[in-house]
Amino acid sequence: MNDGTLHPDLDDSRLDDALADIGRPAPGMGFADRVLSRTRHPLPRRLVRIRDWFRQATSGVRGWVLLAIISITTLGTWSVAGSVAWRERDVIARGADIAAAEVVVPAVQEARGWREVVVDRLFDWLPLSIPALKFFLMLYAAVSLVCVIGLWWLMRTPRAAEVHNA
Amino acid sequence: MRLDPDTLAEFTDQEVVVLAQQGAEAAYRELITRYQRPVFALIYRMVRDRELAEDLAQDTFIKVLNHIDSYRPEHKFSSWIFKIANNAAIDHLRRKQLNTLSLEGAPDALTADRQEATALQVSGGEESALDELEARELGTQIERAIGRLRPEYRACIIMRHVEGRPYEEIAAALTLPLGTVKTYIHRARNELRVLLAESRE
Repeated sequence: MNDGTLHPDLDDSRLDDALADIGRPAPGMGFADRVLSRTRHPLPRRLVRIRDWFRQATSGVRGWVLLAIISITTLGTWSVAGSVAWRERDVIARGADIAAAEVVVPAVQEARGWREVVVDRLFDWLPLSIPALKFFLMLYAAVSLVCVIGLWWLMRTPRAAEVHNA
Repeated sequence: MRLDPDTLAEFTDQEVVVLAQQGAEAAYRELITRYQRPVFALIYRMVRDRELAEDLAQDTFIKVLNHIDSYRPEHKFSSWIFKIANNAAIDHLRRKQLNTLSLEGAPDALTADRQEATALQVSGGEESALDELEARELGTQIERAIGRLRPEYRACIIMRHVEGRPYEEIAAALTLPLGTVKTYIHRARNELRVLLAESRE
């Protein structure tokens, strides 16, 4: 095929051969490593299934139906709440006055001296409360740790060492 | 999950993808190993710039692997990855309007280094010096002719005749009707004949 007789009548098989012979250039060394270093770790299958289910449930016609139901429900709830509030406006106004007198005013007064209040009460309260709160603090720390580990696990790139050892 | 690459090499694309979807990194690497060359070659012949082709090929793989969980096994994996690769190349060509080819390098190559980097690189085989020279000449002519085709024709002819993909897969990858793919390939072949004849004159 390399006899240099190229012309418009170049027959099909020769053209096929010529095209097949041009070969495929390859990317540079370390291409796979460069790609893997920029690839996210896939989500666990269970999370993917939940996400897919949610997507399916909220896409297309089903999504519009869901949106319509949420909109109608929200509108209904606010309408009822609004009509009740309007009907009971006197009570609410009285309640607001009472709230202002009983809660807001003392709170503002209290807030003025917040530094003393907070510092004094904190020092009074903390030593007494810590033993009681120990369980919850430990639970909070454990949950935070699990969340941090989970976040790291989801965000990390594929484990390069394992890829090399595989 | 730890997998032996030799074992993975015997798996079908679909099986490797399922393992990748389960988080097996060896499966990620296997997919890259299988497709890095065809994907890079397709993009390189479309954009005519080695460095850029490598960037676009990387982006293609990153996009594919980051969205591996959205892959549906009813489609061929190769069609999916070629579609993303072709879109990346076409998008770039549209942005840069690099629809023409220069043997001296890409049209936007301004420096000598850049021209050298973007000049056509024709692969040689295990042939005699004369055969190699002739092959290089023919290869150069073919490369130049392919580079002068319209991008759609170029993608079709590369996938069909260089990658050896079936018409149906090309149609799926390029989101074109089967008849259009056949027409494009027929026209591309005719244009190639004319361009090759011109290059001889």
